[in-house]
Amino acid sequence: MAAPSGAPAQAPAGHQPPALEARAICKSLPFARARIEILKGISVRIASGELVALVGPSGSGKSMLLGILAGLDMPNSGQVFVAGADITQMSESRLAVVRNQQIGMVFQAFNLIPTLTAQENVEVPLYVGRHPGKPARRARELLGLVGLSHRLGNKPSQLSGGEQQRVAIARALATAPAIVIMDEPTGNLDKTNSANVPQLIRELRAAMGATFLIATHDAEVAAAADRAIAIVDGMVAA
Amino acid sequence: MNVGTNLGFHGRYATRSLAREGSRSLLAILCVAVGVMAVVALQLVANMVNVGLTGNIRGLNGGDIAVTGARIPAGELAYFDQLQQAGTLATYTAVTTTSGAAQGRHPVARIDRIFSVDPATFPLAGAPAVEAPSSGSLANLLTGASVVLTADLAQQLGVATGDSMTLSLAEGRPATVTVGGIIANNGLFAEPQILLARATYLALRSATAPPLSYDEVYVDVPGHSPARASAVQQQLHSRFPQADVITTTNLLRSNQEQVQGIRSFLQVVGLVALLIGGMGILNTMQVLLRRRRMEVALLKTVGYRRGNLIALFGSEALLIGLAGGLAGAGLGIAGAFVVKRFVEQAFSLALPSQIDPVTVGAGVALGAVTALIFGLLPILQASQVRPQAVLRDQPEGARTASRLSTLLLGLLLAALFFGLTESILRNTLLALELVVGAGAVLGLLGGLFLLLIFLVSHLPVAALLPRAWKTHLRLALRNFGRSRARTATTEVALFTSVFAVGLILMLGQGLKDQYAKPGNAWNATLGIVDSADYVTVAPQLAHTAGVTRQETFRISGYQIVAINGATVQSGGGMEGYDLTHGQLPAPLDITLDRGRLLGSSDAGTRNVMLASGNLDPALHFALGDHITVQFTGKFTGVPANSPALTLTVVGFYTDNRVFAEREGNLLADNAVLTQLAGDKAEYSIALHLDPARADAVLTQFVAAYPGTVWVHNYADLLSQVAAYFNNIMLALEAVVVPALLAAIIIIADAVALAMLERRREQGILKAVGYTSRGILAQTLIEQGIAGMLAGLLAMGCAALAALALARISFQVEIGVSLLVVAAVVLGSAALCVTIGAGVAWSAARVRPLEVLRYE
Repeated sequence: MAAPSGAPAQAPAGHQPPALEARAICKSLPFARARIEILKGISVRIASGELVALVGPSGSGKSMLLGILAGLDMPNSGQVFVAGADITQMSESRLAVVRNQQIGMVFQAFNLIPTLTAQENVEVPLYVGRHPGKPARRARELLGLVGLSHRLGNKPSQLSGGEQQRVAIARALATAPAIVIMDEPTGNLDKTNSANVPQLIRELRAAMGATFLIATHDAEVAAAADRAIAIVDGMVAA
Repeated sequence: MNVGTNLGFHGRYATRSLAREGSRSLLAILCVAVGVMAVVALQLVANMVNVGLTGNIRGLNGGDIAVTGARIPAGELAYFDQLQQAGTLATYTAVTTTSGAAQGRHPVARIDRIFSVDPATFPLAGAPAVEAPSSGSLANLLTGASVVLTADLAQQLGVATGDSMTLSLAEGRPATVTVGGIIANNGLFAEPQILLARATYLALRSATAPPLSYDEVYVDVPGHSPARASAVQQQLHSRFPQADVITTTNLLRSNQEQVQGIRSFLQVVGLVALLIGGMGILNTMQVLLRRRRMEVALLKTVGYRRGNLIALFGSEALLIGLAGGLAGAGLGIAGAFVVKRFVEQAFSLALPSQIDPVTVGAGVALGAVTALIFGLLPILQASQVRPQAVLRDQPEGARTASRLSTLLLGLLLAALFFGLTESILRNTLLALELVVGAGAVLGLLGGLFLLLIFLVSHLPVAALLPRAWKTHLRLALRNFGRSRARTATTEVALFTSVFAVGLILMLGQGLKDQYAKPGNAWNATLGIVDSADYVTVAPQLAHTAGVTRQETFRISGYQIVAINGATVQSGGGMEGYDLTHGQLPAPLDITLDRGRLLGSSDAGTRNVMLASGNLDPALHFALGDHITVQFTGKFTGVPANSPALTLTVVGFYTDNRVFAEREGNLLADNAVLTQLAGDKAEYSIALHLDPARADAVLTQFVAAYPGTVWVHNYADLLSQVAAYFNNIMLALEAVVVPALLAAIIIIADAVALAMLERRREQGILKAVGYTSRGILAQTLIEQGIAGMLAGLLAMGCAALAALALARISFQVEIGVSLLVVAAVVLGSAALCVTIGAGVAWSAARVRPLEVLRYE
């Protein structure tokens, strides 16, 4: 699929490991005495710095694929490499380290911790593992990048949907991960807030060189991506 | 990033999460507080008992050595004088014990402790605390015709310092004395008693009284040296082989064993309450963490591992534990004073009011440790949540690995609780018995309830019910069987407290009913020493107001000299029946254990019955034994040329009287007594008196026939025993309260969790037309079923336990009141319904759109 105009060219392969690579991912689920194939040998490759959209109709297997790529689920067969490391062979303990340091996740439902302030929510990933600097400072910087410097001390219940989503994005970037995976980031937002998300992502990519993989039904978000990967019936559409 | 930053984050997260949970957090804190309260209160009481029984051991013993249990003739005091002159003793004091009656503003017909003392030397240690006058000692209070009373006796008599009262000694004449002082009931003076100077006593004795003798001699050795005391003990034992010679070392050892027994019992009771509180903590933490599954999933998504989650949620558990520990320790201090009062009244002890700060501090730490132990299981379970399943709202399913890990976590919990128990009890075996025993009982109960829940949830619904109620009942039964493990836990907790309440009620009611039975209606005994006086005294009873029932027995002491020809030495009291004229041992009065009852055909024979529980077991009595007996007098022993009779044992019995003592352990025809004792046989008239007039009636006879009659007033004893019984019951009920509180919390948690899990289902039901009232009705029916099931099983077990306890501990047969059973079962159901209503009221009002749109 051709990259939208103005998007950076894909980094030449071989110079550095891709941020994310999936090879022949298969996933099936039990149903009665049989199994239903959800993902049928999907392979994707996302280079560092890319902004890739994952599109497809409901039931195509996008969410399942996203969960596998994020290390939250295991495929029946195939491999997933995050920053060159095969996460399908890792122990749960090692996988937790990868989720903390290499993968940032943004959910449709934001999933902020209600008892923590915006700043504290962004700090959460920084309290496990080793990270340079102070969590509070890093959190303030990131919230500044997403335009929420004036909302540091507010709890999620005191933020609008759009503001909550921006906090979730800031949290995902807290540990400077190899890739940020976003699952329908505009699914719970109104039209105005939804329209702001693609611009925000572009700004963050420019400021931090972050890599994004976004599953979306939103045409504007898909249009903002460098390229789109379409999943149909558990396979990458040609 | 440093540890301090991490701790700061954990602290903020923990406190805000607990604050957000509001009442749930309070419930968890309450669970901890309840358990800590029980442990701290009972531990403080155990400390007080320890000080009370071992603190002033010389005072409790009356001196370095106490010689009691034998009558020492007055002349034998010369021996003590010799030892004193030789420097073996430092000093001694002798006491004569007698009994009698007294009348102040009120009469007391029987006082068993009237002590004649030498005011100059008594007591050697443990001087009494004089309550009135404000300053005084026995030396200056026991002058002239003055006596000193203990406070409880003064209250009974209705007298104060300076008042006059009439005192009638058993071997004396009525005389007017003055109350010289009132002393507190503690130490040597714990029991109700009267003290009078020896000179006063001698003046009140009749000329025909037996020769003066001493019942207790208290001795001090030079330097109060235990080694010297031990040496003197040997000498005194050789001189007075019938006496009990107790040193302070002996008494201390004995009291320490007693204290240890009491301490262990109280600690076990406290730990049981802690265990039930722990179950409440576990339950509540499960609810708290279940509500935050999304948070847990999110944390795992950003890289939190199991250890990080344990640290994070462990901080919450620690906060709960510290808060609960502080509250529990404070409540425990207050509770200690309440329990102290019950223990003092029940066991006639005077305990010091002491609060040990180490115990209180340990209680706070105990709260923290308990919360961590019981919170560990739900924290570890929560940390196993699969992020993908939660974030995508997929069902987790019951995995084999999950069940296995729950089992292993349960064993870990048991091991940790064992460690905690062992550290408190400091007795590995007892701790193991407690943990294994509790685990076995809880496991058995849990398994039983799992089966019952399955059966009940599959019960058919009656077709006759209206359609709406049929649906509610069907859904309620289905819901009842849904989370069987959790429901079984709730049922076990409810069973425990209902069982305890039911047992106390049924046993108490049963014993009270037993007391009311005709066979146990005797509440007094009037004894006539000289058989010649019987014809004068006995007819007066028939005309005395307040006497509602009477039965006369002849009694005598006897000594067994041989059994089946083999020489032995034992003795007891013989009670005679007029078998010729139909006075037979009544089935209400006694229960036949072996052999047969004496009947009319035994008149004139030497057939006898023996009391099963009141014999020397070393003699191995059996049916058909021929026992050879001689008469023995109370003070004179076996007279010379006393005839020997050979009696045949035809039956063994158990006395059915709960409180009144029988005068003997051998029942025979009156002819046997006449042959044995002749005119030395006494008369014992069992009486039932109007309790309000008992003292007056008996005092009247004692005053009218001094030296001729003696009385036992069980009406006083019965009221004392009733008060003692009530105190025990109150103490037991106080112990049950923590368990009941914990059960309530567990039920509330279970309902809350169930409503949380069924939110979507309830939203769907409402979307298709069910009302909030209908959904609430299902929940209340479900809770009513839970309460009835646990109540029925608990009361069934409590009834069996009450029957067994009454037979084994009190040797009586009690009945089971169906009214009490029904009331408790319905009460249990009502309690569950009420709790369910309180928790489910707002949850049942969920708006379907709110639930279905988001989830």
